[in-house]
Amino acid sequence: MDSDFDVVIVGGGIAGMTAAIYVARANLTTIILEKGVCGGLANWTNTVDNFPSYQSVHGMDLMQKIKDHVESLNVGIEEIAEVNHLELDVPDKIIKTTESTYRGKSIILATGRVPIPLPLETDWQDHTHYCSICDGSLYKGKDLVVVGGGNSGFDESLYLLSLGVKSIVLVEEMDTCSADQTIQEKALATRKITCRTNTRIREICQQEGRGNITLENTKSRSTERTMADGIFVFIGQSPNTKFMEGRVKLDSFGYIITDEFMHTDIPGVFAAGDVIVKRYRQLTTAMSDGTIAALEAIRYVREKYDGRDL
Amino acid sequence: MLDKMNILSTETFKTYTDTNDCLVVFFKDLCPNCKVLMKVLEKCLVQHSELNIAGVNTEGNPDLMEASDVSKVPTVIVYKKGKPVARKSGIMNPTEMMAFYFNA
Repeated sequence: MDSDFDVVIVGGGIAGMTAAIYVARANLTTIILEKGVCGGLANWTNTVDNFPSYQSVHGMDLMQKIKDHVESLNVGIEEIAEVNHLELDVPDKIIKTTESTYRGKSIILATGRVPIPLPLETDWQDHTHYCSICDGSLYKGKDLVVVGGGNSGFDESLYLLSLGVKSIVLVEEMDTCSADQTIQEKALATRKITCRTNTRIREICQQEGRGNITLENTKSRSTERTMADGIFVFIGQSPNTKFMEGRVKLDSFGYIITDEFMHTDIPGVFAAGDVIVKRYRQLTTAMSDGTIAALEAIRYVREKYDGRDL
Repeated sequence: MLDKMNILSTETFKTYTDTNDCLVVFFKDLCPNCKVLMKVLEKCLVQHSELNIAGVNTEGNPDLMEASDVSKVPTVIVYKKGKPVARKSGIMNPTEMMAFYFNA
């Protein structure tokens, strides 16, 4: 495969794939380098209800349709391609994976975010989960603890109940849950979910195959115990930018700083999607970012290398 | 799904693992991590076409999960000389996967 491209896209989530569609349709050469498989965090979403054109769609199905669209434009996609070296402040950007080296006149960083692990050392890892689609069905008729009071925590709790889970104790460290009020009400109306705010897991001990879980009130420091068969963790995500540190300007949380046109601090380097500093991280906003980043990358390549405007 | 994967059932599991040194992957169709792992195995096969890879779809085989003490997917178990000699849950990259298999 040719390793020189007009635009190299790092990350195959919806932002990266949208960017690839625009770049390919502009007749520039491009490739997507994806650490795992294309689709990003949406692959972990059981039901997407807010994507215009689909009233309801499985996240993995939606991402496959977008990937099909990208492939129909003959865009190269390298999956299981982990980037471990970047040279960005040179005219032809260099991107190295464990297997190959790529050069791009421009680069779009769209590496998204990864789930934050439970901040607790435990030997109960086999029963600590981050994907209810993957592992939820194992807990039919069982009791669970779900960690995280955001939309994911409540959405996934309802999904787990739909799989036949008997009961869920949902714990949230803050004094209120940040999930939408409607979904909180829907969850609590099931009477199978109890919510504990100002609460965190302090300790998990195995007891006859179950977890004896110590919950601590973060204000009073009082503790209580609850027995559960498994834990599902949905405490947010962190940006996948470790390999970019010192290469591109990041904020204190590790997100890439861009302007409104998705420019980073380095000419020819653009960023898009969940990985950039912004308030709203949705599939639709990631698509918007990917579109803008692609159009700006196209403009950059044409102005710099062809002397032509977009 | 990996092309070169022997899908095992309760009836075939023991015979296959008794007669083949292999990697057995416990997976589920809609599991995103399983999708990643299948792609990893595909890459491993490019380098090591001699590998025997088998799969257990956990949705239809709760008895095999229980018998193998599998509580999350994907879980990979290495069988050598009919015995389970190593196991790991979650994602590995191709290098880690091959080290995991050959060192087991």
